[in-house]
Amino acid sequence: MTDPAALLLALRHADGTFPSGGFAFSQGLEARAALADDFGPFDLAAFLADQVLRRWAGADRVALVRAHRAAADLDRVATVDAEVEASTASEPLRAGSRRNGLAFLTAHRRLGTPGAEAYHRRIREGMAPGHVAVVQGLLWARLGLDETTASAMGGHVAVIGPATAAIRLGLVGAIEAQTAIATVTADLAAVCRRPIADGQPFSAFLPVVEIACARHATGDLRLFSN
Amino acid sequence: MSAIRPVPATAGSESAAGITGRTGRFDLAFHRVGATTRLGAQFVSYPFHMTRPFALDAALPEFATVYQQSASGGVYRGDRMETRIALGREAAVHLTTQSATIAHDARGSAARLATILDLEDGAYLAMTPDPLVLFPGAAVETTTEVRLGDGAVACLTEAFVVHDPRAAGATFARLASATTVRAASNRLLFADRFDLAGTDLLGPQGAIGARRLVATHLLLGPKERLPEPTALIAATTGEGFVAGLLDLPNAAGFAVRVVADDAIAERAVAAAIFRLSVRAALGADPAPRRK
Repeated sequence: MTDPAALLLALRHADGTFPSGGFAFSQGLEARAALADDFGPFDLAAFLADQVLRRWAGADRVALVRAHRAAADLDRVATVDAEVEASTASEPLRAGSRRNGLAFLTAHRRLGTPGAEAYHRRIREGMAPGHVAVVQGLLWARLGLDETTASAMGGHVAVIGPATAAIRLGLVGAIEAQTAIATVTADLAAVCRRPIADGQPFSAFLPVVEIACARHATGDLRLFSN
Repeated sequence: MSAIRPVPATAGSESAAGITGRTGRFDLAFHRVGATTRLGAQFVSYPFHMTRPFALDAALPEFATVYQQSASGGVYRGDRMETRIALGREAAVHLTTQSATIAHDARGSAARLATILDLEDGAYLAMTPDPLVLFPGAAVETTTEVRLGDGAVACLTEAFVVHDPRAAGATFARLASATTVRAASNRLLFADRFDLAGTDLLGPQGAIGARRLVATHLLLGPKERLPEPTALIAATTGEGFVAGLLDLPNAAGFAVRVVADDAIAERAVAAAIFRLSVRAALGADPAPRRK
């Protein structure tokens, strides 16, 4: 990306201050940190690598890109959305993705992003679940961000969210978090370069996080929704 | 007949996509006849073997049990194996194995194991094979397609364990798994896919930490014919494993994910889930299965 205007647009929409609703979710990080007795001490870099390579790469990124390609046709976007719903086994992660998607969409609706109002209506009417990766793909395409840029933005958000949660939970300091983020940046970039076929199914392997989230959902003391 | 007897694979053919080894089919259709479930059409080819359905459960005369056996030493490079089970309306079947199945070094040619399960209205199927033991270099692609009629229930286990017999830090090459569950209308209810390299699981920072086994137990169907979540949680708490109960999308049912130290720890979980599933769907506990 060499166009400063496009770069600034991407930075603004992937920034932590954008009202995306992501602050309420740790993507299983809080739950995983609580399972130290079963799976060893929590390690942010390992957690982020797991998220990038075994979840985001084959699932969220694929959903984002497929929604980006389908952005002109909301029926096709809703089909991708329904597939994400069916492909997310964990209820806390599924519900978190829907809530995060709705918050993100609501912000864009208030900002007047093209397509936001129409897709918001579909969710209200129960015609689409509104998963965050799908909504990201749809809206970033409607804002004119190209597929590769949108993919990198999605990956950035997927890493920054849990890293911020780790800081808020007191698991790491800000410098430690940046060090951990740096360890997955090359992987993230490599994943963004992988081609995605039309209709590519979603693939993920996070049994430890799913188990942790299942236990966390019934816990009394927690800061995040998932 | 053990699934781990070391019989070499029969000669296969070589294609541009790698070796295509043996092709085997295990194709059974069951029907409910009065109080019992009977085996109808069947086609079983090498390396699969089946004796006959057993009636192991005096309290459940409709419940037929079949052991899917193998006359070979496990899964070899390039294998193409297909299992197809069709259950007529209200038929009830337990399909299991006698022992774990070893997946051998594929030397670049993955084995493909396909399972197609078709349950008509009110049918019950428990498919509880022992874990797939992934030896160093093993490469396996599994696909499971399930179609559920109205009120039908399926209790399906898929488990794998990583095995490094020489403790030399070696691991399997690849394991890809794709499960899709559809309603009779063909609507997609649930999909579960992963594609792993053995290196993803190496070391304490791997995807399952220091543990070696991963199992997924699917309990599919209407909630009124499935175990209570509290019973499932109670039954899947213990030593040597960690488990979580997942409430599946589209009211497809539940999944229990298990990460365990080894196959022994998982065996108790699998037995408890099978027992709860049979009790909830058919109304009585099953008799113990001999292995």
